[in-house]
Amino acid sequence: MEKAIRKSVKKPKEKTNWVLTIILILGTFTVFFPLYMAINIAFKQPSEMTNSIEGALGLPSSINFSNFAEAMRVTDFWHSLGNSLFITLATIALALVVYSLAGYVLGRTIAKHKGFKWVYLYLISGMFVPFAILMMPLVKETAMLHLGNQFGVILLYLVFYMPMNVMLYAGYMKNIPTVIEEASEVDGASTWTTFWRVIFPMMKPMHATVAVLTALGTWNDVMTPLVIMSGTGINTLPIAQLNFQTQFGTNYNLAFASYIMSLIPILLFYIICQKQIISGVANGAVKG
Amino acid sequence: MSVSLKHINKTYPNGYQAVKDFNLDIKDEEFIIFVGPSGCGKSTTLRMVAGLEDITGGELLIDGKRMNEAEPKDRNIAMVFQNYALYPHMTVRKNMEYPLKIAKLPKEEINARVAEASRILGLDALLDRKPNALSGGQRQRVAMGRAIVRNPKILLMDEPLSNLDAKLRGQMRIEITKLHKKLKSTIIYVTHDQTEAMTLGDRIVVMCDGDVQQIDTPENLYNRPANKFVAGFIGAPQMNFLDMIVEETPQGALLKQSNSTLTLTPVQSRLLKDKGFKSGDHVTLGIRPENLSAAIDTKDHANCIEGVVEVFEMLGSSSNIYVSVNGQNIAAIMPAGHFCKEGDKVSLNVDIDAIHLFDPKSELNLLNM
Repeated sequence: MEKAIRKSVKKPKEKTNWVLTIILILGTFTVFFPLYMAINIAFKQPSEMTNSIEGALGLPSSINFSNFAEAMRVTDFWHSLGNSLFITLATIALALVVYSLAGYVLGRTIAKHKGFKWVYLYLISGMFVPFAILMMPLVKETAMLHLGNQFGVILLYLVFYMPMNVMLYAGYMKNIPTVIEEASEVDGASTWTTFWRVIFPMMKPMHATVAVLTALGTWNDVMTPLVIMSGTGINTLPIAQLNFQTQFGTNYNLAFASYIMSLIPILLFYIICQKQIISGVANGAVKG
Repeated sequence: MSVSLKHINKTYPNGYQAVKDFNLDIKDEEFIIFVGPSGCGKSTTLRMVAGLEDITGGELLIDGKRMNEAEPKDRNIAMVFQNYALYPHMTVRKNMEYPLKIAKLPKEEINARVAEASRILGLDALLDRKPNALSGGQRQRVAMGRAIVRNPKILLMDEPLSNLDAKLRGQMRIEITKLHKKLKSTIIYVTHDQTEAMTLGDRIVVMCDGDVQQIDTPENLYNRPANKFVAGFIGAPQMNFLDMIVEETPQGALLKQSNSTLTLTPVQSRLLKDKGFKSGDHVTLGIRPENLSAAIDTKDHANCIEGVVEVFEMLGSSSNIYVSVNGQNIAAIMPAGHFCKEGDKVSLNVDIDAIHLFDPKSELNLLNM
C-alpha cells in the first residue's frame, strides 16, 4: 500500500535542457581533453609518439615514471621548485598585507574624500597597461637597482597585481559595517590595532581569493622572471621547463611530465582555498 | 563621572544642522535618556559624547575636563550599539576580552572580569559560541557584556533594545535598571521609545529637529510638558489636542467649541489672562485620554465634550474609544465594563484639573508657571 502511495506521488520528470547540456558537455571536453593528453603524454615513451590517431590519443603501453625522474634531473627540480615556492609564497604574503591595507584605506575613504577616488582610479588604470610596454624599461631599472633577482621579481609582481586586488579589497570593505570599527575604537583600539585584530581577520574570504589569483599568476609566469633574472642562474619551474624546447625540437614527454609535477602544488593550494574563494569572489563581485 | 555639554552644535559639511545649542549637565551616576523621533539629533549627540563625531561648536566636559578633541579611547567610556557591533570572528569570550586585552590588563584580571560580566548577564553557557550562533537577545547581552567588563565610568547606549521583540525588550529594560544600580555608572541612553524613556531614566531630554524641547524627570514631562511637542510625544495613547475659543466671564474663563463648554479653574483663568489671552482668542486644549471619562446619555453637560464614537477597542482591563468632535478626533481610555458602538453619541467628562493649554502660535504650555 505504502509503495503504491509512494509511486503515486512520484515527482514529475524534469525536462532536460538539451542545448545547455550539450554546451556543458563541450565545455567539460575542452577542459578534460588537454588534461588527458598531458597526463597521457607524460607517461608515454618518445617511441610511442607516432603520427597515427592511436599514437596520439592511445594510452601508454606501460605506466612508468622514468619521464618524471628525467624531467626532475633536467629542470634541477628541487632548486627550481624552491625558487618558485619562495617567489610565490613571499608574493602572496606581501600581497595580502599590502593590498588589504590599501583596499581598507581606499574602501573607507573613497566616499568621503574626492582625492582618494582619484588615487583609486589611478591605481585601477594600471590594469590596462600591457607588460610588453613596460618590459624593457623594467629590465634596465631593476638591473640598475641591483634587483635582477627573486626580490626584484617579487616587487614587480606586487606592482602588477595591485590594481585588480586592491579593487577587490576596496569593494569587499563595503561588506564590513563601519560600526564594527567604531566599536573597536570605543573599546580603546587604535586604527592600526583595529585593522589587524578586527578588519584583517574579517577579510578572510577576500584573502583566499587574492591568494589564489596571485598564486596562479606568479606560479605560472615565465616572462617576468625570464627577463628580470636572466643570466643570474636562478631558475623558477616555468623557466627551467624551457629546457625541453631546443632548436632541434621539443621533448613533449619530459615537458608534460614536468608540467604535471609543477601543477600539483598549485592544485593543492587551490583545493585548500576553494571553500573560501567561492564566497570571496561572489562578495567582491556584487559589492565591488 | 559628570558630563557637561555646553552650547554643543553639529553642522555637517552640506550645511545641515543636526544639533542646535545643546546644553546639559549630567551628574555622576545619573541615568539620562535622549528621546525623540527619528532624525532629531539624539544619536548624533551621543556619538559626539563618544568621540565618533566631531563637535562643530560648543564644549564637551567629562569630569570637568574638555574632551572635544580627545580620542574615544581616552574618554573612559563604553558604548552599546544599536546593531550590537560584535566582532563576528571572535567567540563571546574573546569579544568580551577584547577591550581588556587592549588595555593590557593581566590575564587573571581579564578572566575574573569576563566571568563576573557573564554571570551578571547570564552568558556563562555561551562563552565559546560565535555571534552568528546567538539569538538577538543573546547578542545584545554580549554587547552589554563587552561594555561593562571595562567598568566604564560612562556607559553610552544607542537604541540598544530597538532590534528586540516586545517581550524581550520588557525583560531587558529590567536588566538594564538592575545593571545601572550595580555598576553605578553614568548612563546616557538613546531611544525613540517613550516607554523605555519613562521607565529607565532619572531625567529625560526630549529632542526634535536638533533642538532640545525639555529636560526633566519622567513625572514632570508627563504632568508639566513645556510645549505641545513634548505633550504629544510623552504618553500613550498620545495627548488629544482641540482648538478652543476663550470667553471671559466674571467667574473666570470658559473654553468653547460648538456645543462644548469647559469652565477653567481660577488659577488657570488667571494664568491665561496673565499671558494676554482674552475673549475670542484661540487656544489649544491638551487633554490626555486617561483624563476623559464617558458619560453616555447623561443630562449633566458641565465640562463635557460632545462627540460621536468612531472606533471602539476592547483591551481587556480597559477600552480605547476614538471620538469625532466637530471634525477633530480624540481618544479616551475607559475602564473595563464600558461598552459602546460605532455611531453612538458620547459625552466625555473632562478632568479640568488635568488639562493643558497651549499657545497655538508658539505651542508653549500656557499653564506652566
